[in-house]
Amino acid sequence: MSVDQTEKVVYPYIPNSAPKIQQEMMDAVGITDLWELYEEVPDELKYKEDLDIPPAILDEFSMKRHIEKILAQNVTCTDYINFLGAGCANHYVPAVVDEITTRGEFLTCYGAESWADHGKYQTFVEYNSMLAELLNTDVMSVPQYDGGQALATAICMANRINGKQRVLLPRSMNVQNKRIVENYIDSVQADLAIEPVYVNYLPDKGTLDLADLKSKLDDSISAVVVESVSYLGTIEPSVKEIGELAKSVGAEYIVYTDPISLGILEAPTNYGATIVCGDLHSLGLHLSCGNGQAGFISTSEDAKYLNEYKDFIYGFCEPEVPGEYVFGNLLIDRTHYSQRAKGKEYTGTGTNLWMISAAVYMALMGPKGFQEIGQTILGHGRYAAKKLSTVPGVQLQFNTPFFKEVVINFTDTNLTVEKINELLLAKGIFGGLDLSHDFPELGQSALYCFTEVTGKEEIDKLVVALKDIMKRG
Amino acid sequence: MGRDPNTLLRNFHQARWDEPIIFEMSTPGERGVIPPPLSKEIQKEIQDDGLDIPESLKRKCPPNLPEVGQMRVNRHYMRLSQEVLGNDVSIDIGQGTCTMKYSPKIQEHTANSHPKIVNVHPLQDVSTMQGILFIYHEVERYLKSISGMDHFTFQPGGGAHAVYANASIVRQYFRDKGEDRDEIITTIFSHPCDAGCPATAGYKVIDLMQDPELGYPTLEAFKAALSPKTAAIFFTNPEDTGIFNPRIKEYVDAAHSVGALAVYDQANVNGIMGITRAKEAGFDLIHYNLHKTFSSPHGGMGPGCGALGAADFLADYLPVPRVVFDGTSYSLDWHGEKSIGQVRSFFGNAAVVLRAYMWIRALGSDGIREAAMCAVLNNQYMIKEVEKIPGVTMYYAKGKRRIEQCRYSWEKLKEDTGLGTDEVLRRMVDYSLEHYWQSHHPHIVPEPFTLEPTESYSKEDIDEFVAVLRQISKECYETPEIVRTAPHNAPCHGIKNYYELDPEKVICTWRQYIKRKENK
Amino acid sequence: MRFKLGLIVNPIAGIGGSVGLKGSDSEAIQAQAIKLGAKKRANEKTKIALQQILSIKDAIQLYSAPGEMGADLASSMGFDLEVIGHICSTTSGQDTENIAQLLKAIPVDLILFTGGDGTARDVYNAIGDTIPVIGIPAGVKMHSGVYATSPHAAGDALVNFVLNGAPLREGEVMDLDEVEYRQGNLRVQLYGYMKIPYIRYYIQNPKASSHLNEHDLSGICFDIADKILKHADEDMYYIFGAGSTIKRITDHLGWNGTLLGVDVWHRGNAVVLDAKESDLLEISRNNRCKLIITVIGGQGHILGRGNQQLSAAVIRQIGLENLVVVAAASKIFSLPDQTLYVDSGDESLNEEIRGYMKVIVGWQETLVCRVM
Repeated sequence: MSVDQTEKVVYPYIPNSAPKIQQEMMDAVGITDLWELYEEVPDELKYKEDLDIPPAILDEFSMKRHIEKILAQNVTCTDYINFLGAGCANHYVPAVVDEITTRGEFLTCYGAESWADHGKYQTFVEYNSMLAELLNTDVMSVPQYDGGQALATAICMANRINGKQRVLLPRSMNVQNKRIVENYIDSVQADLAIEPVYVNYLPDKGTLDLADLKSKLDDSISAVVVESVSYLGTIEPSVKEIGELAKSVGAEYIVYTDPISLGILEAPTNYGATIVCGDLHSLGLHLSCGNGQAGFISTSEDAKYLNEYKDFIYGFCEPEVPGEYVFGNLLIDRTHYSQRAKGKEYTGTGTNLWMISAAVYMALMGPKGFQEIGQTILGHGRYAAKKLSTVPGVQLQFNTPFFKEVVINFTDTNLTVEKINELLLAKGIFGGLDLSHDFPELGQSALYCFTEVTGKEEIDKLVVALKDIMKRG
Repeated sequence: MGRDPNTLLRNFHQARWDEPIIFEMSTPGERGVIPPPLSKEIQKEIQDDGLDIPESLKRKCPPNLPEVGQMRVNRHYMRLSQEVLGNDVSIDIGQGTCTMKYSPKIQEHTANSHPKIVNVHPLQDVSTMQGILFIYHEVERYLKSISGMDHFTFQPGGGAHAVYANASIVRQYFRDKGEDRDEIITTIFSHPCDAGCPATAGYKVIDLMQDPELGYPTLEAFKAALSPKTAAIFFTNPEDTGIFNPRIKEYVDAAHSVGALAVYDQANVNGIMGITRAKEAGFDLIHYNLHKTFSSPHGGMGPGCGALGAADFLADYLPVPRVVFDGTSYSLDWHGEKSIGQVRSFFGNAAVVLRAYMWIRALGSDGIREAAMCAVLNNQYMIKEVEKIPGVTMYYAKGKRRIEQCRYSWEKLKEDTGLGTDEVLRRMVDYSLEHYWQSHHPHIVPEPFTLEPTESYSKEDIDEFVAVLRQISKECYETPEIVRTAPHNAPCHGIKNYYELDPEKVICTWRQYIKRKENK
Repeated sequence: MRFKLGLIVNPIAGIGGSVGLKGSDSEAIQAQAIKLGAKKRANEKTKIALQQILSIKDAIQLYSAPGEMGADLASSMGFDLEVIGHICSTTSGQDTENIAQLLKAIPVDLILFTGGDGTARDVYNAIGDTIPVIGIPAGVKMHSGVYATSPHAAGDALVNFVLNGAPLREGEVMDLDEVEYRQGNLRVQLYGYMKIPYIRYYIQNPKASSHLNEHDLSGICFDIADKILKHADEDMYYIFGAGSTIKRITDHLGWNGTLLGVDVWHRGNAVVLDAKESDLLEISRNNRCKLIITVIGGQGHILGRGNQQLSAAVIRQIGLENLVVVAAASKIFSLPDQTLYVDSGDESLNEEIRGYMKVIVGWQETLVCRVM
């Protein structure tokens, strides 16, 4: 659209772009040209050319039409059937969660103290409280950027607690988390870095190779990390024994878990986890191209752990008027100011809004909801496994109980996963994540994700599509 | 009766619902939502597949979550939302250094609800994500123009996260070059993350004190800190005091002359967009906060986006995946031998990048510059008004024009009345203002408060904010008891141990609360 | 239980300053000051502080020194008080000390005193670091770190402490030799430490919380320990200056050094404790040395206050490149203009040191400070 060059544009988001009021304010500060505001910026640093930005879209309707046209080029997981997960699974988000999360008060608040933002703090503390019930823990801080960051910080917490600098991680761990962790525990000063040591998984079962773990476990290990459920979907059977092994060498036992599994799977602390972490995504967050991720870390209330959190901790305080619930910002003087340098960490804007979504989600679900959704997710996966095995050349990679994610092997189809996914895409299906690059030892395998929203109808369509692909070769 | 047209003060009381904790609302048997059930048919199909969870791994005791019907859950959180003074309902000029601006609703409606973003999985085939990848590529182009940098990545989820990613890039760069440098230099009025993030990456930190007249460190102090061990400088400019260091290029040149990189924390860029660029000042790495300057709402502290900009010679070290365009379509490049790897899963907070796209497009080149200038105009206008309030003083850079914000001091008020910045802050909510930001640590300016009237605020908003400060100052001198006992009109009253420091007294969950209560 | 508060006012504190006399410590000076028309202001300042406390006076049992040393003022303001001890018609430092001893015997929960460095020393002589104090600033010499920022703030701080409690931290008791001072020589001595409650904004050094201060100090200890132990240098002599920050470091190293003296260590063994200038000259003449000192007092001196043993000649022999300055950042931030001062007694050495200096403020963290 064209703008009349002679008339000054008044921008709806900039009230003082209106000429009269702008002039009034310019008079008040004693300038005749807006560039005079920048006396302190030397002329050689001033940039007066046009910026490489297309002409403004001033009217709101045109903006709406413009952005919708662009977004129309995206295909969604409601347009197609989706079997991608890998830490960002397709779960249903109840309407009340969106209703509350998008409230302007929550969206646009920031750092006010708890008397002005009382409701925000109460919601945050309710989030703490409900997640602690799910995890069977006592305390937590506000969430981290994502599960990978939560894991990285959990490892640093362990290092600060026991001063040791090697960590045992599963070789099969989430590959993105692995990149995040490896960068985070590295250090400019070699003697400050934490060294990752990887534990193999059993090729037939996909669960941890305990013999390998034992051979790598000694007094130098700061923490043993287990994913339960694992990135490859398997439910680790030896979680209790691994916890005992970790304890025997004075290591922390970090369990990376998927909270939506905890209606049916045992809470990690009940089999010995000392630090529980993971990603909140399954608790009422949308896919949103990966926008809906947030990390959590939670432990017992022992000061040994409490002092090592890197982010804000909100909780109940003592009211001046008896009977009121009031909330505060606790233990603000923690680690990043301290000398415990081997684990110096920083804090900053994270993912607090997602605490609100997760709080509403947990409140809606209740104990029964978590049990039921766990059963449904488990059942859908097992149904899919059974049906997929009927496709010629297709088999389960591991014959192990799994939850939500499962590795499907296509090697015997003589087709690459890449090719299969291309053909599935043409049929309106997003096939599972191609593992052939990150896990070449698994041949042509893909990580399929089955949730409460991929039921019999979707799975049957997948099976039909695959059979059709195999038939045509 | 509306706001008093003469005093600009209103008779305000915030919502006070006295809501119980959600656990106290639990009525066993009630349901908030029912998830999709497992069909009988499937149950039958899978009963003998041997893939059930082993007994030992099944949860023995169901989680002790509240059981509350849907309407009550909705009402509870609606009420809690009413007990929040977000930027949508309060004039949030007070939150200096945070660039609180209006987040246009058209953006929110798109980012939060449009299925074409909300229902897209980040690992989908790139052919099915051309819309969002186009947006990434375009925003990169605009920010390149605003900054003069050669590349951008939007993976970091916040400002400090981007500073951390920058420190990781510095580390990787020198490791690659085989240079052993383990110190970084920052200034005391830069954001604390400019020291904290490099320290996390393993750097030793050298802080520069400000010169008492200039308000920023002298070039001589800076040169005293530089050495062959210096890996990088991490500077904010304008600093949190709103003072622009006019000799910034000389500092960058001095850093380069010892072989160090120059990293620019541009969280405070709002007042200088389209006015002065990182490139001309010589910087190698920068970041912008898309959740501040580029209009995404803060969400009570995230999710945000720290847009990280780099000079060409550092492109190989940026995190993966990178959005690339081959002339016809957009894709994600996950390769990167020299890359630091990842700092965030997938490709960051896409909804934040989408909002930035819409905001920049709504303004265009002229509008971006107009936004910067109006933000600075607002600030300089506000300084003139705030300076007149009894008890307020300003530190440093006397007679110099500040950029987008200003750090003030209630030192005089404290001397005169014994009431200082803490007390004034607690009283503000009684006049509908959520709060003001005092200062990052350390509080070198005594009794500090930092105001940033971004371009979103009208002259009248500023006048009202100033009127409230003036009124509270008057109360401190004349009726101090009302200030001392504030807040009066908030959802709750005073808090005895707001910053509890004793781990033994930390109660951050309901189960702890109950346990402590029983022990009493 | 009511809070037991002790009160001591040095009624003539500050009397010398108002008429240009440097201090008020001797009777002759006091007489001279009164002759010159000086007014006793200490009770006025005390009144400002006590006014802040009136609101909680029912929660307080006040034990006050008699007459113009506290009781007259406090009873006129309606405090419920018990008068302790006796005083002479002209009050002296001995009175302060005696009454402080009686307050210690009760014992009270805190002593509020009005005065300057002389008064602080008298209180310190009686109670050491056994009972917390809050100083109402009223003296001419104010080098000690035991005062609130203003009389008003002293009252506020006390109310806060009574109602909410607060962590305690050490404040320096410093004083200069008034005889020397009146002749133009600054000789400030560190006498010891008293305990003061840390309350944000009210007590001197208000810029960072005591917890951060604690983190800083422990960081400094680890940093110096790294430097000494990790890169063990068998030849090096380590000279530690005076002060509690330095004492923290030697304690951390497991070396039992003195609080107020300058100590020399070699290979983990004490060579000299509380060394004299001659000892230091001797050692630094023939050996490589590192000198570790801190910022002393409320005015930012690194040399020339409280550590006169470290003379210009000693410093020159050690070499400026071997000078290591450590200080909690909060200490530096609370200095006027955040500037350090050097007064080694040798102007050309002072000139060499002036400029910018890196001060270790934490583990692997330094602050570049201006030195004047």
